[in-house]
Amino acid sequence: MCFKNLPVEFDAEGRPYLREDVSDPYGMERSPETNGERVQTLSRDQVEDLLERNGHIRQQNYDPVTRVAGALAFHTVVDLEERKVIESRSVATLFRGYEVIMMGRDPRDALYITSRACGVCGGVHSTCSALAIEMALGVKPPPLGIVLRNMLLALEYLYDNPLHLFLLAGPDYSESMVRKTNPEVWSRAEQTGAPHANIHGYATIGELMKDMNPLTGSLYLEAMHMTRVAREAYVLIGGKYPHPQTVVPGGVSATVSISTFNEIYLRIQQFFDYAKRVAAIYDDICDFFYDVDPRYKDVGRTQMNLIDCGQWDDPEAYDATYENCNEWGERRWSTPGVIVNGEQVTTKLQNINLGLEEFVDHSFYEGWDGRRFETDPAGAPLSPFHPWNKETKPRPQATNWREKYTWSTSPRWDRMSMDAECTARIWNTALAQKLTENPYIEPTGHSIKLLLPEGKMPEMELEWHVPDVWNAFERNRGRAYCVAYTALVALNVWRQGMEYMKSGQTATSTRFEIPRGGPHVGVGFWGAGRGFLSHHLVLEDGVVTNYQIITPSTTNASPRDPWGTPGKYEEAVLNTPVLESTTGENYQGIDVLRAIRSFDPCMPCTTHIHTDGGVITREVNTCACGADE
Amino acid sequence: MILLAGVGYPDLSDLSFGPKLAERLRDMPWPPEVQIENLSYGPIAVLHWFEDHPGRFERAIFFGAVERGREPGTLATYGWISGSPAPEDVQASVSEAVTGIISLENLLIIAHHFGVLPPETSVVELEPVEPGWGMELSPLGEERVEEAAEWIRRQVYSRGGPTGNGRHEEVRNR
Repeated sequence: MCFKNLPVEFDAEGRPYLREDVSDPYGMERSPETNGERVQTLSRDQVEDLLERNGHIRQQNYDPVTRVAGALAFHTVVDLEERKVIESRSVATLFRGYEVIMMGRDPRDALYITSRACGVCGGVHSTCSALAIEMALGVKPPPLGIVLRNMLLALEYLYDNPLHLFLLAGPDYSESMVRKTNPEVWSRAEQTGAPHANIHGYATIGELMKDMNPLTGSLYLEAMHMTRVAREAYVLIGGKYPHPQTVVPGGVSATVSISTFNEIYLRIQQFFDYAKRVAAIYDDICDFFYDVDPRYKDVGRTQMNLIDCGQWDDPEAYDATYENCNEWGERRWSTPGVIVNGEQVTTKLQNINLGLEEFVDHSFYEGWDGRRFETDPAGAPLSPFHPWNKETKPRPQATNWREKYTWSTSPRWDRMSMDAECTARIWNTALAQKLTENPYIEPTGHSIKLLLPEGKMPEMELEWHVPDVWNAFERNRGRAYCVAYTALVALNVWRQGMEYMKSGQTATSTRFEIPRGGPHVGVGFWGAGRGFLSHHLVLEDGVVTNYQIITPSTTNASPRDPWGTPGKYEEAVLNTPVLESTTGENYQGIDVLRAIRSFDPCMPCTTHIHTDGGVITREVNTCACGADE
Repeated sequence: MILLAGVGYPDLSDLSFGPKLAERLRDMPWPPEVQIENLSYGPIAVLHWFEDHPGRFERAIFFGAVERGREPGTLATYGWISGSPAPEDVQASVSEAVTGIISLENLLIIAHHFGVLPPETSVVELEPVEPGWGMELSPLGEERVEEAAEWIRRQVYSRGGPTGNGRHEEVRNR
C-alpha cells in the first residue's frame, strides 16, 4: 500500500483514485498514522510549567545557527539534569518570496530568478524550473542536452557535498571542537587506530580529527580546493557558477566539443581518489563515536522516513510528460522514492506528487481557500494543500511558539514528516534495484556497491549499507558515500555524452514557443545537493499564475504540522541526548548543532527581499529567545 | 601591477557601489600596469583567482558599499589592517563565502588570511544612502562614485600610500 493517510487507492491497472466512502477526504480531523515511533513532545503549557519550577531546565537558543547556509535560528529547552532536549523549534528567519516574485512573469524568467534562491546551488533551481516548463509546454530536449544538464547536476553535487562535509559539518568532528566539548573523547581519539588508515593515510582517529580543524587542517583546505575543481568543470557548460547562463527549457544553450568533454573528464577523475578517502574518513569518524558511546546513535535520530525525486534523466526515456513520469522517473541515475519507517512504499513520481501537501499552520503565512486542480494531468486526485493548489500569502507577525514561528512551511508526504536529504538518493536507489546496468554502480536491495576507477590509488569497491539507525552520523556518512556515487554517475553520464558526440547527435536544445491560453501545468522533479527539490508551475496566457518551490531545507526545517508532528530538525533535536561533557560557560551545545548541521541546512541565503523596511542582503540575528511565549 | 577591484551585488542601488565604480573606472584612461576587475563572484573563487596570479599585484584598491551605521553617503578610505583577523572571524567568513554571500569585508579577511592580498592594499567604502532595489545609485551615491574615482586616480598616479593600518580617513560626508 502506498498511502496510509490520504484516501487514495489504486485500481487494477494501478491508476490512483480517491476513495468514495470518505466524506471529507482531505479534512484535517483525523490524526495521521505516522507508522512507527513517534517522538514525544510536551505541550507549551507543560514546558512553561517545567521552566518555572526547575532551575535545571533552561531555554537555549541558537540564533543564528552558524556554519549553515542562510538564516536559521533554533530554540530549545534543555533539561540539564536529565541531559535531554524537551522542546525544539526550528525558525527560518527570512522570507524567501520567490513564489510571489514569479507571479505574472514570463516563464523563461523563472530559470534566472529561482536560481537566486540559493547562493550555493542555484543551478539546481534553474534546471528544476526548466523541467517544470518543459512539462507545461511539452518540450523534449535532445539527448545531449539532457546529458549536459545531468553533468551540471553531478558537478554541483561534487561542489556541494565536500563543502558541507569538511567546511560546514566537518569542524564539529575536528580536534579543536572535540577537545573543547569532550576532552575524554579526544583523549580516546588520540589512542585509537583508524581502521581505514591504509586508504586515508591517518594512523589514528586523533590525527584524522586534527586535519579536520578549520582553516589549518589539510582536509578542510583540500575540500576548499575541490570546490574549485568542480566549479571549473561546471563553467565549461554552465558559463558561470552558481547561477548558470546556459540552462534553458529544452536543454542547454551551450555548444560543446570533444575538448569540452576532455576538460570535464580531467576534473571529475580527480574525485575518484578523493571519494575513496572521503568515505573512509567518515566511516572511521562515525564508527569511532559509536564505539566511544553508543548514545551517539541517538544524536539527530529521526524516523526512517525519506523522500527523493531521483535525478539524472535517461536521454532515451525522458519525454518531459507528466503522463509518462513514472516510467522516465524510474530510469533515472538515481531512483525516485519514498521510504516510510525504513520500507520503500513507492518509486513512482506520480505517487510522490500526489502525496505532497504543504501546510502553513505554524508559518508566517495565511491559509488559502479553494482547490483549483482537483486532479493531476493524469486524472488522479490532488489535495487542496497540494503545491499546484497552494497560494503564497505572507503575513509577517510576532513569533509565538504556540502558533506561528517561522517562514518555513510544513511540506508533508501522505501527511508524514519526511527527511529530504541526499542519502535518500542512494537509499532509494539501493532498495529499488531499478538502476540501468552499468560498470560502476550496483544496487543490491540493502546496499549500493560503488566501483571507483584507479587513479593514483588502485581501483576500489566501496559499499554503502542501509543503516540500522538514522541519525546525524549516518547522514554525514551517507553524504560522504554520495561523493563516490555522484562521481560515478558523472562518469556514466560522461561516457553517454561521448557516445552521442561520436554518433553526431550534437544538438543540445529544442526550440519552443510560449503558448497562450491554458492553464498549462508542469512540475520539475529534481534534487539539490542536500536532497529533494520540486518546482510546481501553472501558466496561463503565457505568464506564470502560480509557482511553488519545495526545497530540501523547507522540508527539513519545517515547523510542526496541523497535527503537532515536528519537522525533521525539530525531531532530530528532540531525540538528541546531551553528551557534551563541558558545562556552564564552556557549554557549546555541540550535540544539538551536530544534529541540525547533519541535514546540511540551506536556508535560502543571500536572498534580497524587499520589505517596507528595506532590503535584506545578509542573514540577521532575530533573537528567537524574544518570542512571544 | 595595480589591481582596482569592485565588490558587491548588482541592482541594489548604493549597495552596488563596488561594481558601479568598477564600470566607471573602465571608462577612464589608465596606465598599462592597472587592472580593473569586478570581483563580485564569491570570496573563495576570488581567492583561487589570486592564487592563479601569485605576486602579480604590488598594490590593490578594493571598493564597495559597507553598512556600518555611519552617516549615509560617507565615503571612507583606509589601508587594510596588517594584523591577522581572529581565526573564528576567518572561519565565519569562509562559512559565509562558501554558502553564497558576496561581501567586501569577507573577501578581505579571507584573502588576508590565505596571504594573497598585495603588499599595499587600500579600501574605499561607501555608507549607502539607498540600500533598496534599484539599478541606479542614489544621486549622492553617483557623486561619491565620481569622488572615489578621482581619489583612486590620484592614488594610482601619485603612488600615494594608504592612510594607515585601519585608521579611517573620511574623504567626504554629508
